[in-house]
Amino acid sequence: MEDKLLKELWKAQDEKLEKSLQLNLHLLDTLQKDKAKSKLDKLARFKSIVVFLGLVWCAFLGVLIWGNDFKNMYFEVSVIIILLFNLYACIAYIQQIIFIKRLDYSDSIINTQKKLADLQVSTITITRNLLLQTPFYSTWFYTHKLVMHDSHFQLISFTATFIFILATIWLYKNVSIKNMHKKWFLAFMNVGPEYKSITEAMDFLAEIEEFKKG
Amino acid sequence: MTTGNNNETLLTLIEENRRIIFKICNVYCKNKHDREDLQQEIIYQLWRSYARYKPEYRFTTWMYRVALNIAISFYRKAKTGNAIITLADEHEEVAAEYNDGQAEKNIRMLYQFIDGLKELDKALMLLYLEEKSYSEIAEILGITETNVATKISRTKEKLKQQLNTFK
Repeated sequence: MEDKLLKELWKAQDEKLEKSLQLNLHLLDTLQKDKAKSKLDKLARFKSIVVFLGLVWCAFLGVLIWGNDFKNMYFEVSVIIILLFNLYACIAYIQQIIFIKRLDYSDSIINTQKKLADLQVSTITITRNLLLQTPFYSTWFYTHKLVMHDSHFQLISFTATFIFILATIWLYKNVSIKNMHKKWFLAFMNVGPEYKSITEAMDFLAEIEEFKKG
Repeated sequence: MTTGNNNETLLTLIEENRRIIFKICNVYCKNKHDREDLQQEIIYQLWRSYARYKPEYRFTTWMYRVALNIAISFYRKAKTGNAIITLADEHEEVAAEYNDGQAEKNIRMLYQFIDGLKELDKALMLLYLEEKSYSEIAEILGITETNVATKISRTKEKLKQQLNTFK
């Protein structure tokens, strides 16, 4: 098909499209009142819910620390560290929400799409960092008496904590983009709605790079 | 965001350039429902982004950027959610409206070809068919003019091969 013919064919559909599609400009009024209808804002809304739940969890941990009145250092230190990790995740998610809200869709296609795909992939970094809190879930119930004098406790708890540490190190090293197509990685990451799009975002980033190269 | 007179100016501009939205929706969406959803999303995002619009740039370039960015994001979301159905079926409607058998065949082939392209290549093909200059395509997509020329020639070559196979 010649260039000219191709473009004529393309132009010929103008009228058909006019007939089959009506521009609903009045919907703008509805949208202004009901922004929740925007599908692309869903990601920001999902992250807002996660932040809210995260802050509730942090408040609960804060109450636990306050209630313990610094009587058990093992408990205090473990819970404070878990709290700090969760605050980090909340801050990172708030930054992502601000980024989504401020995203300029009138930037070039490559820039905007790369930013969006990068944002989705950055969730992996947050997940990796959050994994580092795992061993502290196995130390909060330690007490000075048990740690120093109970050999039974020492054997079981220290072994459990050691296994937690090894698992955390392994996951921290391996939860990364280079393993994105491995089955265990997909199973591990497939725990929430936003994770489903991460691997697609990674593939799309590769596509963008290829497109830029020409 | 826009208010008052700005809002009216924007609505007039959108109305004048509505075919841009129609064509993008038609290329990126498989069925009527998706096309309506995408159209709504594009108009909403045009309204939201209008405050950032600088009049020294051509309105259509700005509109293409917003609309294509939304269409690609929307398409990818729909794909992730397995909401996409085959393009060819729904676009049969457009092709079927042509009484001329050869024209019908050609438009069907053109849609099948576009359907098989990746998201970014679809945008490139659409801009090429809309007879945008290489410099404007480069500005909208964010790649160099040389890259645009190379890609267009490669895409046309693919189209030629596909048409030969079809014949």
